Amino acid sequence: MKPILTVEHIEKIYRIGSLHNYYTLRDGLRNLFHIHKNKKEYVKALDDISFEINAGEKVGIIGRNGAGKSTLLKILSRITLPTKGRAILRGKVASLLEVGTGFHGELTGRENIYFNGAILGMKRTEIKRKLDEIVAFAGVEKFLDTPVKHYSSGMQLRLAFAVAAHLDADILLIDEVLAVGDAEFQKKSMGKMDEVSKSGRTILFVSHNMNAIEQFCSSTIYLEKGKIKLFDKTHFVIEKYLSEFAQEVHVKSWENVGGYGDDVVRLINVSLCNEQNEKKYFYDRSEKINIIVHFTLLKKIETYLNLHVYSINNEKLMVLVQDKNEIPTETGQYTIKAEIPSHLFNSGKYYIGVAFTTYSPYKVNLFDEQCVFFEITEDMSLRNHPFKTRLPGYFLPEVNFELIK
Amino acid sequence: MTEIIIKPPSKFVFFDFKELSEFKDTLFFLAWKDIKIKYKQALLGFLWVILQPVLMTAVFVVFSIATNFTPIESNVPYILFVLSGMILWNLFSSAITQTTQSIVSNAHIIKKIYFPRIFFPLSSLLVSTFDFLISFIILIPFMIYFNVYPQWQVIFLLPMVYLLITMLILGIGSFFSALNVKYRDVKYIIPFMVQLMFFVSPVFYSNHYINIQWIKVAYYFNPITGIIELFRYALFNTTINVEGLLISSLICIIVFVLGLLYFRKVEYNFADIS
Repeated sequence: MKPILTVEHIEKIYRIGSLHNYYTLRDGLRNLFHIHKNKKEYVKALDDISFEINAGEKVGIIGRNGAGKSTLLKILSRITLPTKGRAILRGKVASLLEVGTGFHGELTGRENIYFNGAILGMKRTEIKRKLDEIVAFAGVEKFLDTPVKHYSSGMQLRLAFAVAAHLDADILLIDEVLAVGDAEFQKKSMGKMDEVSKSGRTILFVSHNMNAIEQFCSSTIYLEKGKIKLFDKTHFVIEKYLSEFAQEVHVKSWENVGGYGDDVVRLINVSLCNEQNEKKYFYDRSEKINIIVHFTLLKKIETYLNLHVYSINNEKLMVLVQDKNEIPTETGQYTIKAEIPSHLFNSGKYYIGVAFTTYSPYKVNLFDEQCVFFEITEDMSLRNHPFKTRLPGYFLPEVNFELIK
Repeated sequence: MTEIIIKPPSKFVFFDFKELSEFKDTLFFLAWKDIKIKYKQALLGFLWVILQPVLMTAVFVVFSIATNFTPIESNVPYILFVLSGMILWNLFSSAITQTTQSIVSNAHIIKKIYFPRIFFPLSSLLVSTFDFLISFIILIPFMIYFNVYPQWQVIFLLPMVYLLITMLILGIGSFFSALNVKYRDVKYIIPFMVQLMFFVSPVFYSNHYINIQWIKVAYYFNPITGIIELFRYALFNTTINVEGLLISSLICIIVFVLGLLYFRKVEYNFADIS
């Protein structure tokens, strides 16, 4: 039997270099008269991608941001076409690149189910047949005829996911949609995914969540800079990926490229150091970690520094937000030092994402998700308990156990 | 088993009608959603659709009375003349405005979900058609009042009017909706173009009052002219300039084909640059 999905030498080239991604007539006229101020720049998002997937296989796709994962899914779901190469899909395809595309607050839950289902490619009769099931899964029976603008964000999300989860297709293309919702709902949607995957459908699943990939996918594609670096059994690929992912980057600088950010705030550099200002990657559990953020404020706008701390499995552990009193009010260059207490993290690898956010109106000025990395080491022999191996979990604060009779 | 082959954009492929019919429910719900939202948000909902042409007609009628001048040579009362023109004109102008914006305003869907892209201008056309059908009702009491009745030919003449105006709208709309993705200047050009077409068309005056020859030529090369005349001919049995109708029809067909061809040629690019 032929494979259900064949991808042959796919290449995708994007034009970059302009600030906005549309043109104005002025640019058009300039092109017409061949006046080029700067040469067009091209970037290869995908470069000679070839692979085959057999019916019923669940394949994960992993890789760093910008590796081409989303572009690959977009091509397979026909949202954009490749520049070269071709792909053959032998079966009905449903793609789920985002939960709740096209949801409208004025429409009721029922109306949104119909509309969302329809644009995802479901027939009217099919939606009608599955309506009860979708509603029950989302748990919105009572509010079915209420406009969704009155729903909580959790409810909206559940409803949107419920519609998507009931798509009938031979091939499902899924992009990181499980990374949403509260823990209970995530569990429920993982369960649904599991059920779907057992029903014999072919799944292509992009995620940053290594646990989810490991749970569903028998094999995994590792993309790097638009190329397939590895396509093998999942555990083998993940191991390889994680070992390379944690590059020991503890200093990141944009000094030579004019900073990173927008017209309000620009990052100059970010680094990690201990109390003695020693810049380094490895920290002992007993050491404090200082995050030093050096930036330029270009406008008199209140923008807050947020530090997102992730585990190496890409789980967000916490977000630290700068105190209001420490916001600079004048433009200029500033340095912020954030001190993470000692004895907080368990041993292991972590990384920090750096963002600046304006709150009224809400706007993310910049966000470097994978900015600086660190690793906590610990001398196990110093632990005063019989488990001389690493305990599970990410946090290990000093908790006082007191024996009370 | 369905087999989908994805490959780089080829020189030219015409519409895949099998695919279009497979996705027909999607088209229906696209239009359905816009209609729902529109009538939910406006307090007076349906009333606006009727009121708009009526109020505009009132303006022209009052102006005509005030100046003691009626710019038509026709056996039909001026109110009916303007109201019928205005109702059809509203279909045209609202559809052009909506279709032109249809790709840009749905960019978030285009970047995440695939279905035939032509559905965006097409569903805008359906929404405007829905409004047109409602506003059309208001003509009936006026016709009864003035004792003006259509002949039996209206049964096939009205569909012909709709066919022509649909081709014109889809041609212009799909062309500019696609162009709008690349050049946002389109947004500013369209209102001006629509306004210009309004004044060089028989919405509120008839051709007898044009003294300048080249404007008369422009008047008949404006494709909406023939369509409005045909509409009035169908409803009120007014005189019709057959040559004018032929010119309009020919232009409609040319615009329709060229507009869709251009749309088809560039639609693969929408997700990347919109």
